[in-house]
Amino acid sequence: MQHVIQLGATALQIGAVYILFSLGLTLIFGVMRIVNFVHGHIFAIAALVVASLLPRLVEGGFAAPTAYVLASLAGIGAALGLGALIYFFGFRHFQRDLVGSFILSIGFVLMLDGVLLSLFGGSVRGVPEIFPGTLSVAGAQITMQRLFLCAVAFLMAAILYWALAHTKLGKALRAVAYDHEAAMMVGVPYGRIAFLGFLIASFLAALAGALLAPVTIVSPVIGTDYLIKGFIAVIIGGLGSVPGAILGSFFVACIETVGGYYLDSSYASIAIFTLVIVVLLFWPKGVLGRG
Amino acid sequence: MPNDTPTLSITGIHAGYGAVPVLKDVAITVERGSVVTLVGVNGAGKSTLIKVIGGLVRPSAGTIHFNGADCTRRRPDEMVRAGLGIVPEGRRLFGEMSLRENLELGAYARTDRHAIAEDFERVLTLFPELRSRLSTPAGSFSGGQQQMVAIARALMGAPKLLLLDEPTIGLAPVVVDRVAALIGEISALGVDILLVEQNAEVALSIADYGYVLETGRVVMADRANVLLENPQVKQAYLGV
Repeated sequence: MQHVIQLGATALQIGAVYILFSLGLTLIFGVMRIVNFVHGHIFAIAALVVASLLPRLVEGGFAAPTAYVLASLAGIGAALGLGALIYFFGFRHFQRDLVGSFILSIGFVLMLDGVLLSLFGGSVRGVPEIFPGTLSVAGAQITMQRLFLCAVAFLMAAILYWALAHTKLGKALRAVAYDHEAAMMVGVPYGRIAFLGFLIASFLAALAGALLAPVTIVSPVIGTDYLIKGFIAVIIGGLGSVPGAILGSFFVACIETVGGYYLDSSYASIAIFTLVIVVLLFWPKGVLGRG
Repeated sequence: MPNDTPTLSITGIHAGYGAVPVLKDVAITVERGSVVTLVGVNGAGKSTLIKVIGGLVRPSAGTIHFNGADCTRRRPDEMVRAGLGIVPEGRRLFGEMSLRENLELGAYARTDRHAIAEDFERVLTLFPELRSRLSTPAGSFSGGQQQMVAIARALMGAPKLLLLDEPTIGLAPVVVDRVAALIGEISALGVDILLVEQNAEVALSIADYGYVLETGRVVMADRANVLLENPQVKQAYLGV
């Protein structure tokens, strides 16, 4: 029983990060019909800025939570700046062009690999503990930091869900995702909505990076693994579908956790890829995907 | 701006997709207070012309004046803001969204909540059968109802000029009559209308003025009742 709760808690924590990650991927695909492989680097830059700024701020006399908030704001700011740059100089010119945007993505990924490596160095960094303590649930241990991560991730997912259904911007994003020409014909400014969608997605990835920095080991290549897992999550759930991204994230997190516990983490990876193939055999567009 | 400025005046429009020319030297005028129709068979370039006016396809040459202002290279949302309403071919509703959301999106470019609320009521008066189904997804309506929703959505933008692209296609005769009557009602509300149609008989019988488009060129232009009696039009478009 204790195992089950511990595994469930771990799956929830990993799933929370994947949700933030995959929501961004699915949002960008929905609005711009491109696959953004740079998403992992947007996540990475936020984590790297937090990891390198936080120790300095703490040394400089800030209390850990204050320093963390400041470092996170800086990290998210840097990630949004990067997102805006690659949108304006790149993806803006390759909207609704899967092949073109794919090639552009690869170019950005190679370039940013180098940029991040030279800016932050290749060494891994640890980040001081921000919220000390653990919570004990029926014998299972959950650190306060991971609890905080989950809470923020789920809160953000809920806010996004609500905003897509009830705000003017949310309705415009859904309309553009459904039929961008029809949206333009009712007066939705496509370019602005695509940019805002890209920024919101970048924000979610950056938030995931800032949340994850204190509980993991940060290096310039940290984004790649999450990109692949987040991408698998949206493929399983259905590209462009928000509930699909959430469902897929939990699915991947569960396999990874359970497989990693009972077998081996490499078997867990194999299991994930095998299951993707199985899912796509039965649901070629993902479980909740359409057109 | 003098009151006799035409609502829409396009001249010398050339447009196409890539190297394929579709429209060649097209000129059309919609006078204030009028219903104008553009008839032509499939592939004549009718929908391309709608997209050019709506800002979705850039013309390679020519000018578009809307309400007296040069709008040749405006973006679609700018055209809507300037008072253009479009009922696109195939209706293009946001099928997964509710009827209410579709109508709200129709008013996307507007900010005056009171006027939007008034128009919401006015539109529902025009389409009373829609009132009880505001939370139904637009994709689950019948073809005729979807056409009403598409018109209602365009009207929510408070247009000065309404472009209708094949609004009667695929509809039962009784629904075609309803659409035709509606166009008259909308015109009476002070909205000018450019009706693009394959169904020349219906279109010419409700329009004041008509253009015939063939392979991207305007080949005839006259008062609609004159075109209805024109032997060439009768033979080619009215199946007489």
